[in-house]
Amino acid sequence: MIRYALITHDFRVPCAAEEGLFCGRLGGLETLDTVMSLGQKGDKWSFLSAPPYTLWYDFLSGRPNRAVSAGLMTIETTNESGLVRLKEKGGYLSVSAQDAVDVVEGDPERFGDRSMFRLIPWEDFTKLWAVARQTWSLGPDGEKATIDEWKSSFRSLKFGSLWVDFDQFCEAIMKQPAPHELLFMAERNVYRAALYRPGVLYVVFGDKVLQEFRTSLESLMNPGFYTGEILVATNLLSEQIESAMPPSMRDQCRIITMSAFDYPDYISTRQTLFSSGVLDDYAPLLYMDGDIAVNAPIEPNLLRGALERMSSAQLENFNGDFRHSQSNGAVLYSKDPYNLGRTEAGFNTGVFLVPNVKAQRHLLDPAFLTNLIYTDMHGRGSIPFHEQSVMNYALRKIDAFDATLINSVTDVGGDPNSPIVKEYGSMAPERARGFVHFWCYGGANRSLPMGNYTRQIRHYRRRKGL
Amino acid sequence: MTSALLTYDLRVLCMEHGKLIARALDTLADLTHVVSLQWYNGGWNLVTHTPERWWYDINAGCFDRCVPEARIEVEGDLFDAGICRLTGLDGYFHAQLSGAITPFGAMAHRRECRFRLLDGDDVRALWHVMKERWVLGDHQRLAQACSGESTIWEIHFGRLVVEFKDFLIAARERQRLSQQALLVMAERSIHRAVPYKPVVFYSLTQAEQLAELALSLRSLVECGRYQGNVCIASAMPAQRVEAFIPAELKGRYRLVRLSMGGERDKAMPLLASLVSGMFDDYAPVVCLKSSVLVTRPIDKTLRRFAQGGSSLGAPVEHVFEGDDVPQANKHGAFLGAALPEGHKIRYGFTMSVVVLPSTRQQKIFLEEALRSAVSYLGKPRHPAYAEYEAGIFHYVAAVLGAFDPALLTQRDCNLNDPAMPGQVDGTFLCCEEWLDSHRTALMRSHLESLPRTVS
Repeated sequence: MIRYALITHDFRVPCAAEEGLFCGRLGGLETLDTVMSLGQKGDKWSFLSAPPYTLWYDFLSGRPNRAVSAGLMTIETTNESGLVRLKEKGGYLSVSAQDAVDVVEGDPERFGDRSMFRLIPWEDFTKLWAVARQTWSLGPDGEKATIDEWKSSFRSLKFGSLWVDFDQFCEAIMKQPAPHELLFMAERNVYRAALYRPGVLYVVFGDKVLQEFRTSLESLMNPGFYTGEILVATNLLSEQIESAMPPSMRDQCRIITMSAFDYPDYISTRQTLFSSGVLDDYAPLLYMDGDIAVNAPIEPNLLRGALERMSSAQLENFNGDFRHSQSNGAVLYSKDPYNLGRTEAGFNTGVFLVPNVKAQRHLLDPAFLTNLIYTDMHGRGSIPFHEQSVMNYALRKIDAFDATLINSVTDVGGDPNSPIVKEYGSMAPERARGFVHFWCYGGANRSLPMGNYTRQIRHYRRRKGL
Repeated sequence: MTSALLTYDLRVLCMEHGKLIARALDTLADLTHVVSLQWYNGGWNLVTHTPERWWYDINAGCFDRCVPEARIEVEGDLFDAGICRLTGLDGYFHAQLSGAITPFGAMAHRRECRFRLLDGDDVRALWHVMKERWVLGDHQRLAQACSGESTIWEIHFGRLVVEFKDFLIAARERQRLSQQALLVMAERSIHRAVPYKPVVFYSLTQAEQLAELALSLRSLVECGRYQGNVCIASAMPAQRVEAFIPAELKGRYRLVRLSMGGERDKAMPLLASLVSGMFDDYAPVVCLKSSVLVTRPIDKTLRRFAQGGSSLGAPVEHVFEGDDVPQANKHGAFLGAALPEGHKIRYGFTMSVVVLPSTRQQKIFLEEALRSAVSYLGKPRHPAYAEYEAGIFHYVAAVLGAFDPALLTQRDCNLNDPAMPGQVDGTFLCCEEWLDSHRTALMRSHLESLPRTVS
């Protein structure tokens, strides 16, 4: 049976409730169970419940569960393409000021748009519902966008700062290149939007890194102002992790318990997690080592990250070409040399961004399998800087890496007199753009310089009124 | 899922709390935790599809290790016989009775070390068949693939012992053709089994029926020894109806709120529910009026109903032979003239007991009935509200040839029987035609006189 969904003049959908038909907000619907679709009943039309059940709506009792439902409608076209009127025996269907759907008598013209509806096929509607429930990053600048249901109508949609023709938007939804991506025309220009559902991942194995983890989280809270989900992969008790978290962040946290018995386990869990699918919901997913301090609001970087097409991390220019750097995959490359045609610095996976884990999994899986096979063949301690090396070797070989974003917003921190730290600007607050990786610190406890730096950044931002 | 592994005693390898464990197929609520054997260039390993993908670590015996160590050797001709043995670092994997799977020692000769590798779709087909109960053959014996006695070489299905491959072919074909029945080869002959998950459905149109419902349900439980589910549709609040349901049915009944605001609704108490799809998982569906008593154990009768195919059954009141045509509206008289040429209403039946072997198989009948009902109700005058649904059923059954008079015979029903209490011989005693004022009292006295079978 062909089913259509209805969109009202103010971008709502007719739903059935105890009191009769009312108009619900699309993005606010948890399920489509109450949404009324339009189906053919004999030679006329009537409302019926959402698939898979076939329960016809009864206009007399105002319920979809009447034994013999009454109310057959005919569809009348209007002068505007795609907009129709629904004529019932007693008159035309119209949306009242209280958002109820009533049958009104007389000339429907006097009710204007309220008596008109847009019909869209049920499959298109379910996709529109999925888009309306999600947040998007709108290119090219990474503007945070949702469908503004208060301003949208059955003629055009307000998507972020753009007005999009309804038909064009529906067409774009049907032609989505992937579920996480929208390409559409608006105001005579082409736009791309990517799904935005961010997650920040930490890996915390052993209690020695808890202090660094706490300091990193504090920087994520301020000046990062991050409000999304935080994932912590750990072999510690959840109480230990929670005690290390600022209380206000505990609700944002999701703990993934993993087993770790030796050194490769401790430093190589990301690939397993990426490949497992447990992180599939996130777009983008940002992995951070515990010695990363966030030095600027993180959302703009995450929004830009969602629009990326490949994974991103910071380059280690000081180490030269990755093919000769022990920490960036030289061992694996020596076993399987390939021609890249250019010199490339190896990347550091301390800050590692995956634009959309589900969409990138087919590219991350080979890295995971490489790790598995190589470890199996040569022993568990055979790869220096285990995971980072494998990532460098595998992602470069399959051309699935682009350093541009993370490289442009990440500095190296630690001892201010270190040449490498100086090369990256000596942690000057005025150049804070995203992240500082405190690996260039000789002391045992990196949380001390991280904490001092974070306080310095907060002070600077206060002084500048940021 | 790519390929799953069954242990020698037909348990399937699963991940539970991060560990590898064997679970009986019929005890699984779904197949999300079943692990499969996967080739990954370096060797074989077990991996989950929960839909998360976790690899098995043969050292730690867990699925949540950061860098899993994964190399399992497979011995045997996987793609022909399908039986194999798995070896890890410490010897052959074997399935313990507790469900634990451990690689240990040289026990290669033992059957505990044998596994059968199955394609994911085959596992799903097998799982569906093993979860269900079946009615097998002409004698309506109840059958279930017994996970306690079956192995990966032969399946104990009721009284039959079926070769595993034959059983798998049957399950696979059933899945492929989306059909209800299972056709299985065993002992050199073919056997037909149909799923058995009965439901008894009552649709109440008025509050006065509640007292009768209580008696009918008591008879169903006490005399019928009914073990299946019950569904009651009405416009009354759930709490009110629940007060009339015997405690024995706790956990086995479902109440459906059905709006019955007008005479039209009361004239069609069954159709909307039957066509909605809510009984699609049941077989058979028996619609009883509240004025029907069940007089004897019902299970065997229900099994026969389940085998009814795509026909509708109801107690026949009148056979119209030759030029004889229905005169009563309850037999479709008001629709008789509308019948297409060449079709005739041959049987006048009562709606006190209506049997549908499966609503899924009767979809065409039900949807056509709804269409006809709506189309006819659209006319300005409808002469026979009271017998409306019955008339529509007669009409559509005649057009589609969907009524089987043998499904519910006179032996099954006492129609308006003048029999005194204690002298009833049908399985169903229909009391609808008795005087309203006396009906409940008479039903009660009949119920008291009916024999109770010790369960």
